[in-house]
Amino acid sequence: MKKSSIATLAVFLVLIPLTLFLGLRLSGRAYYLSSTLIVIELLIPFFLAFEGRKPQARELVVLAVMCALAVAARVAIPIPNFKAIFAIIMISGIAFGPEAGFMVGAVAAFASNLFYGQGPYTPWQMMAYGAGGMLAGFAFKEKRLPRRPLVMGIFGFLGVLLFVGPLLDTCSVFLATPSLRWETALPFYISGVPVNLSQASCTFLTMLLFGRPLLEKLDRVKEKYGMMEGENGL
Amino acid sequence: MGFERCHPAVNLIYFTAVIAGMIAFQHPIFLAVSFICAFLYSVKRNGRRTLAFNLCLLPLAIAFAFYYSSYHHFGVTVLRRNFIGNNMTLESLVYGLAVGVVIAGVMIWMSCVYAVFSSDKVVYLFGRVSPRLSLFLAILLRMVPRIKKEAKRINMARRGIGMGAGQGNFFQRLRNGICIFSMLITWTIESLTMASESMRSRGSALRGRTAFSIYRFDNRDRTYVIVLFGCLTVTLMGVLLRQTDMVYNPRLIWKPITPASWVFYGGYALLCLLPLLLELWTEYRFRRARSML
Repeated sequence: MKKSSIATLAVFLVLIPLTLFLGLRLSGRAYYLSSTLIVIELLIPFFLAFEGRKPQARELVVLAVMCALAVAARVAIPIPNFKAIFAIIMISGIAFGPEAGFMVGAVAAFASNLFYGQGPYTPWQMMAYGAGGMLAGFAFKEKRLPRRPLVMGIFGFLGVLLFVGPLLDTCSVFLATPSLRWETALPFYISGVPVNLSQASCTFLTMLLFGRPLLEKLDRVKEKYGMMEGENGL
Repeated sequence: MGFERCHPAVNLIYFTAVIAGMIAFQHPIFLAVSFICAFLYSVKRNGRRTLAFNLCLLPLAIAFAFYYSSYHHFGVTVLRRNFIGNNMTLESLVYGLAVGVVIAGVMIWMSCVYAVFSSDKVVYLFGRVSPRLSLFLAILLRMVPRIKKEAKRINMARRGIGMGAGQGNFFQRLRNGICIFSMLITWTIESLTMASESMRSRGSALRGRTAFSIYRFDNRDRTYVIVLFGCLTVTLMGVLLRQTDMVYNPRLIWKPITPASWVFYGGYALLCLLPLLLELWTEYRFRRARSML
């Protein structure tokens, strides 16, 4: 059995039940602690899967450039909640596959929080941003969806509005309410809609304007150096 | 001459301790001590230009205090009401000032870190952990200056055909800027790939490769570490006795200064002043040795 799949099994069968059990035993705001721990534990198999593939340094370098670009897309745009970071993460996912998209998203979330301040929400953001990149990778893998700017734009819009945004709202639910109830959680999701909408429209615009040139660059590098090939089409 | 000649591990421990203290301690005297020591050391380390930079940070900290108190209204001492009827409180103002000083202090300490930690030290410290990571770090640390240089080159060439970043009307400038940026991305990806490939083919990711190292753990480092950990122990005792705490909400509650507190203040001040003292001592020794010739 591969090391990464053992780790995945260990996380899902041992670590997460243990965290949930201990979280129930603790009093007070343990929901928040245990949920954060679970998110961190969910990140472990992904990083291990990536390391287990023995990535070439050149592949890591390209992913690092995409991370830097994503961080710049969040930090350099001065309008709050109108950031192109999601678009960049999704484009990396589309170009290099789901696992690479997850890596870029998670690392970019962590690195950009060096500018915005780390907090209990950091693992959640790593998770949500990474999941966005992974989703894009799966959706566009093996030409399931055509790589046209308009398609990518609409996908990015819906992905941020319906998937990444609600995931981030879930984080604020966990951070703000002591006990989980549907009635207390719903207002958070509703009040998150305008923010998600503005993020989604920025993603749409970025995909439409810069999607094709960026994707062309990445495809060119991929073809020229033959990178990101191997198992799972990664 | 001085602190940067110490062993990299010593540098790492010292800066970790000092920056953690700057962030964690809430008590104004501890904040002030750390800020002043950082100020002095960075001026000694980096010269006159840092003085101006550090002095600019102070009004920014005060401005941050006003910004913070205009958004947060905790506390019981109301100074006045602002135009939408929210209370401006003394507590939020003081807390904002404390946060501002922390941010400014961390920035000054970081400028010292940049001056002391050269990239070979980073590679030396982290290269043992993972050769791939150290290769990565070595490439990344050179990346920013290289990108700046290349951006200048591209801009100069584009200016030759009338499409530089500063030519034409607003929309043309925007277009030219985006074009240059796009070229820069392509260049960065390609050149980084080539750099990592060439390092790999020279065997930098092979097993048993050693990092560049001219560091020796000598007696000066030993003395430094002993004094450093003595000061750290005193400071941690202060933490255990809750000397570093301060309550800002709902009312400013100031830990009373007892004679014992001065010991903790002194220990922390010595901790923060260590590199400065080391540099002054080295300079003194150097001057004395030269005058004996």
